[in-house]
Amino acid sequence: MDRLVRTQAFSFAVTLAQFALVYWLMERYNLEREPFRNVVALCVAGFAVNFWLPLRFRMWWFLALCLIGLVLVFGMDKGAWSADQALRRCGWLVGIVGGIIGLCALPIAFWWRTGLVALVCGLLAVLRAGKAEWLPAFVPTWAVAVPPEIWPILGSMLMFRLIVYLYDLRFSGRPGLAASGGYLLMLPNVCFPLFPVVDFKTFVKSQQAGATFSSYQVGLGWIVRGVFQLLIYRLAYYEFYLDPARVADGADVAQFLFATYFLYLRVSGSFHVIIGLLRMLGFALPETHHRYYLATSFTDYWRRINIYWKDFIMKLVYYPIMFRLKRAPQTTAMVTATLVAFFATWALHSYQQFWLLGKFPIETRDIVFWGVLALFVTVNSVWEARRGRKRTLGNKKPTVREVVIRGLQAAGTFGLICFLWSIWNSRGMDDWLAVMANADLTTAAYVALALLVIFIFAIIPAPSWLSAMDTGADRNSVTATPRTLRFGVFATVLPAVILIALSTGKAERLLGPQVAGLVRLVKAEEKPSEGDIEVLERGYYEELMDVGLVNSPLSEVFMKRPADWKRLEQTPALRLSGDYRFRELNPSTETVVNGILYRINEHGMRDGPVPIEKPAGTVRVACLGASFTMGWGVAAEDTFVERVERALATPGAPRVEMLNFAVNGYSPVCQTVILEKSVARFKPDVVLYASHESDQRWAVNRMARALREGAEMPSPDLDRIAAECDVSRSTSLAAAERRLGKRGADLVALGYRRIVELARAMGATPVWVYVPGLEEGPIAIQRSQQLRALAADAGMLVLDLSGAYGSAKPESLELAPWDRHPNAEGHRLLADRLHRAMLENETIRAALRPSAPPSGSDR
Amino acid sequence: MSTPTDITGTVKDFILREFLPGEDASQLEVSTPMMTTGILDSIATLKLVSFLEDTFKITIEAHEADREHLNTLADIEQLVKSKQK
Repeated sequence: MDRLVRTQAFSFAVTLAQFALVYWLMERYNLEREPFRNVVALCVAGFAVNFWLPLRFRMWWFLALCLIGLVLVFGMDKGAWSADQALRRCGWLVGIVGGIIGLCALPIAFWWRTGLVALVCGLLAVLRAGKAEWLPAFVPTWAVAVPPEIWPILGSMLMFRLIVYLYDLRFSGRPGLAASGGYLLMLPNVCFPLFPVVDFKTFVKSQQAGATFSSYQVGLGWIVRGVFQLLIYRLAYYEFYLDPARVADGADVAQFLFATYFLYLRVSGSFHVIIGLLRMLGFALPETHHRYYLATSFTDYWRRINIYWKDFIMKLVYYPIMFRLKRAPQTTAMVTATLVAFFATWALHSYQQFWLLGKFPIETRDIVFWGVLALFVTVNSVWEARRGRKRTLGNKKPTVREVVIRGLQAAGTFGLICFLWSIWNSRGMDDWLAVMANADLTTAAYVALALLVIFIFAIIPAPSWLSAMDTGADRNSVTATPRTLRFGVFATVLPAVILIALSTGKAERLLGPQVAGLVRLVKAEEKPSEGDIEVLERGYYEELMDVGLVNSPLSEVFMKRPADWKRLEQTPALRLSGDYRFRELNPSTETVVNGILYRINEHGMRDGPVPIEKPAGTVRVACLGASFTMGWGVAAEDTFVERVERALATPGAPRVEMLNFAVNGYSPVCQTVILEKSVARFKPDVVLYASHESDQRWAVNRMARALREGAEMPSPDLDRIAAECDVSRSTSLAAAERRLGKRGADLVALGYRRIVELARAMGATPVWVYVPGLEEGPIAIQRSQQLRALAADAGMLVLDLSGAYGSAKPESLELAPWDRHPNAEGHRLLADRLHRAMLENETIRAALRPSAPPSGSDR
Repeated sequence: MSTPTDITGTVKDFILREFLPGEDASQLEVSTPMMTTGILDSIATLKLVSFLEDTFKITIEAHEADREHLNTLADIEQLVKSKQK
């Protein structure tokens, strides 16, 4: 074996061992989801082959890996791999992308090809918007059957890269099929809807340059850095991030400000991993982010954060404008180009949301964020153009003064960006202002502390191995050298081994319960947070684009939602009620929503025809509640209310009518209105209120909305609480929710007490039933216990259905990934548990006998 | 027509004078990356393009203002030479 082959074999063995170590690290920490880890395993195998392949075969090999990656990921269906699904989904995706590449390769003028591609993309956009009926007649019917689950990935693959591809096609000639396919189907895009906008020319050139040992080392270093950032993100998201609605004091404001900005680590972490993997497959691509938390000005920030996006905008927007205005005064040209570049950035973010989520949002917070950033960057650019910017070749030691100024600039930029970022992440300017109204001296103290930390980080010089990782280590090192090996140890092996060691049970025991708890937290597979679950449960009710940035696990769930998925409010099944409840079911209507029939009887109940007069010998149970009880997403006969009625209809037993008065989104106070307006005349024997862990949130939300709408309060106590919280009709919804939030328990207690009063007044036994959500986490349990105590205090008979779902996985009982209401099976389990609980309770058994005397509490 | 050495020397002088005053000239080699290291940001790139167009009487297009053509002194020399042919 000659020396060159031996050296290559050594480099290969070292790199492969490191790559395997990095894969093990991802496994230990459950990074992203299982399909992604399969793709990483594919990349490890891909690297092993690619390393020895002649350059001319490498692009074809990469294309093959992209296709295998698609099959691996798209074949996954409800936890198992299915060849049928893989074939169907990949067939569509590869067919569409292949068709577009074919159009681009037609032997006709460039603008004709661009026109044809634009036409196809327009048709795809119509389908993505769920408006198949808008398609022209020449489109065959089979063409509208694009599987909805491929849209986010198809959109992600084409929305920006196709533009770059066409641009480079115009100036750089016709690329080969392997390069075109590999570029548009680029691995591992299939796992990441948010993907860096890799430049086509850079993509091709970076492979032609051939992979070197140092390039692989940098790739591995970036993957480990990305993993580290993703773990910090998990900490920020699950432990520190505060939903704007929960900000209550000055410390909360500081927590909201900083944790919100740290959520961006998910993007920068995944981009590091993505580009690192591409480097391992032979593409010596440049870095995507460069220590953006230490940016010293707004222009510096723009250059450091999401560098690929900056390059994309520079290439497609900024430079073309600047070159057109070459003869205009420099300041005019620069201001015009910068403002247009930021306008394009704003518009393209909405365009991105359209392809990923199916909606094109135009939001004030986006306009404010990009507008303010554009202003700062423009002013900064003009200042730099006139005054000059300090550039260095890196060979001069900065003076103390320069270092201190750099630290102050970094701290100032960080602080301002945090504020801007918090606006972008809030659910509107009202919401943000309401959060900021809580700021006080404590907020100022925390902000000062954070800025001091940034100052210190900015003045400490980076170690040489870290700088080497940013710049690409020893660029000329094709095979292993002592320098690149040392770099590999510091950038990859050492951090990976430490993180893996931390994840072992022994390390957890050695480091104490607090560190062990944090390690367990970051090891957990990514899932929606408690706040996200709330959003998922109210998914049918509110506009879900308020998830803000498309970089959370929650937003990825919504990407799978079909564009034509409807909320009940968008259908004639609901109408305005003109009172505190805001909406009510529309009597005598039949509406099909998302494939489910909602038949509303003449009394405004989701129930069959019911005579007002109670038949002799019949016991009536008036069921009150919200969406779970109404049976959102399931057929009427599948709701737990209907199932319990059928279960109670045993031979010899008295006839029991379970009357379903539930309406989605109703709070306890709303139930008192329906009790007075509708229920009383049916003379129920039992009033069964089905409570949910979200009772308090709904109590606050409904009251805030009712006050905003100017609705009459059903109780003078509510007027008193509104006055005490300083909430009136002119108060914004966000501010009203925040102020009333502190009295949430009082609102629930008031509602419960009133339900008891009204039930007893009509001679019925008031029963409180706790209906658990599909995910019974510690917060849900804590909330249910609080509600249970309030119900018992109010004098209700308490039934608790906690644990009704047994060991079933929540995923198997949910309506859809984007809607955590129980499906028919979930309702069956709830019905079984409720039926048993009713029969086990002596007071209820007595109440279910005809003409039973009303009972008090049975605590 | 300028010789290759003239091009590199002229451009190097301009870059040192305009963007790197006080820096050690020997540190700026023909292969020193400038676009990827922040020496040539967007403003500097445009100033450089104007200088190249005026000095060498060539026209540079917007799509050429990238790493492929302007990242190093060697790349710039190659671009200028290709335009002068």
